[in-house]
Amino acid sequence: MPMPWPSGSSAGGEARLEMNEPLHYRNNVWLASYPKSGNTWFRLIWGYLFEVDERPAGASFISPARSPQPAQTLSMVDELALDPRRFRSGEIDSFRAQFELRQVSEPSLPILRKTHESYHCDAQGHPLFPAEATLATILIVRDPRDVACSWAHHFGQTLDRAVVDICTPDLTWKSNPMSGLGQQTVGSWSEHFRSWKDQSGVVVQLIRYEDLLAEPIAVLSRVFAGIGLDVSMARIEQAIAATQFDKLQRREAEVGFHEASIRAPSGFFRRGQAGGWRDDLSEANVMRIEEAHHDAMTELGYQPMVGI
Amino acid sequence: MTDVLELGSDVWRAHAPGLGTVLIDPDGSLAVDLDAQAHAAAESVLVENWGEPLSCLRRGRVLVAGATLRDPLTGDAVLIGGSGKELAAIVVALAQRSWETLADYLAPVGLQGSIALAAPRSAGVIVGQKLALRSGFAVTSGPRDETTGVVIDVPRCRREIEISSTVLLSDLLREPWSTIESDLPAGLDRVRFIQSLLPGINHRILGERTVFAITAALAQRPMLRFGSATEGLDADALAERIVGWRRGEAGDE
Repeated sequence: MPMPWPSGSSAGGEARLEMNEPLHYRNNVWLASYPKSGNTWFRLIWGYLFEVDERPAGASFISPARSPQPAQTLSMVDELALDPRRFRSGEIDSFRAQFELRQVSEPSLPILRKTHESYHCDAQGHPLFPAEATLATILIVRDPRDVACSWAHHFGQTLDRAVVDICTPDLTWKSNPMSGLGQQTVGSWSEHFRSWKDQSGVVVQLIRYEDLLAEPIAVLSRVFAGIGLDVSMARIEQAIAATQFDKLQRREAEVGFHEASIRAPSGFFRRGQAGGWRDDLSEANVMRIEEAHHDAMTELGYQPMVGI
Repeated sequence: MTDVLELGSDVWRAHAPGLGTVLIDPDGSLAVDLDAQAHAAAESVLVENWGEPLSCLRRGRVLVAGATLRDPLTGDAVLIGGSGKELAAIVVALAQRSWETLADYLAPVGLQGSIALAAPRSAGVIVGQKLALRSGFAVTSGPRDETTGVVIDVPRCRREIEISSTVLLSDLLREPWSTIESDLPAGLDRVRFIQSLLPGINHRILGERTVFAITAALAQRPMLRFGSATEGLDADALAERIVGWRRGEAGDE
């Protein structure tokens, strides 16, 4: 174990001066996705490629990359000694907008930041995903009909309820002050997509989950190149092999998965396929999704199946 | 934009957009400059939830993610490291057993010689509304919107007292511990676990040597950890185990 402090480390006075230096290192890689759209798989691949050497021997490889969520207010405790639990959600948003601009990080290390939130600003118009703190932005989208099926399983809901949820305008997850997660504005499926696609603050690399499944090497090579990460084809192949869905399922059965929902007793890694909705969704639910999200689905190549 | 935390001059400034600014003098005293549109509770929110932890840092205490409570049997303090619902529930369960809370969520710890001292905070104990209702303690500050916790009126200890042992909840570490609970022998494991409870701001403000001196003082005292296998236990059962462990410790001395 390394010594907990470097020899000859500075006293508090010098360290204090560092606090107010400009710290816009642009090292955040926002990994935006609507829930149940493949960001866990992406984080597993990222973790395999960039973090596996840091893990203790024998650790389960079901360990997605460290990917601190912007809505996780514990970082405010860590960096600011701020206890967020009695601040209002709007107040926390205003903190976040400024807080992201002052993060202290190593400039050479991209930090993956998972988020299910839509792109938005605080009440004063400051973006919560500021360009000055952004190295890259990845948006993973998935056919909303498959999202609904996976959503129902993960949250322990009926399919009817899941369909209602992903079609709900301004869908918001309330904050949980005891877990440290602040309020998250998720939006409906198409609102989420539009929020990221239509904003002009950050450049978005769009990934369709279905393309990631079909051509993972090509998609990931493009994404990593876009971020400026030098990852060999062989390493990407290894990462994909290590995170194959059946392996993840088996491993979860053996050792569990800490991101699994308590409302999904059969496990986190359910099916991972594209098009499974055809077996699960009623025609009424398909129609509801396609009506609500017709334009965005068409734009993304998710062809409506029911006449609109 | 104004930086939310400015520490470069004699008077530190902690700025909460839309609420105001807390000013922290070198001696740790606080003043608040409220924004014009700030709501009625802004001052107490700013002072208790931000100014007070910064004031503790300014006076040389480290902040520990956890709570400190006074054991009514021995009169000294136990540091319970952790966060979230588990910590809140255990604080309530111990309060129901007449333990007095010194600090919750961010607990300041100072040093006197080689002895770690728990410093009291004025900020109330915040819990979720369901837990507040179950606890039987009076709610002294209700939620100001649908997302915030409530402050409950638990027994408090308002003076600095020695920390004689530490209890560590596992959720911070995300390790698949196989043990239900264990006494940790003195050594690097204890140091590592204490370090896991220290927000990074401690190091930048106090410097590594100060932080490690307090870490070492805490790590010299008995430590009990609860691993992931205990997640099925409710807070009452955990509190009983803590009380029982403390009785054993007291009997050994």
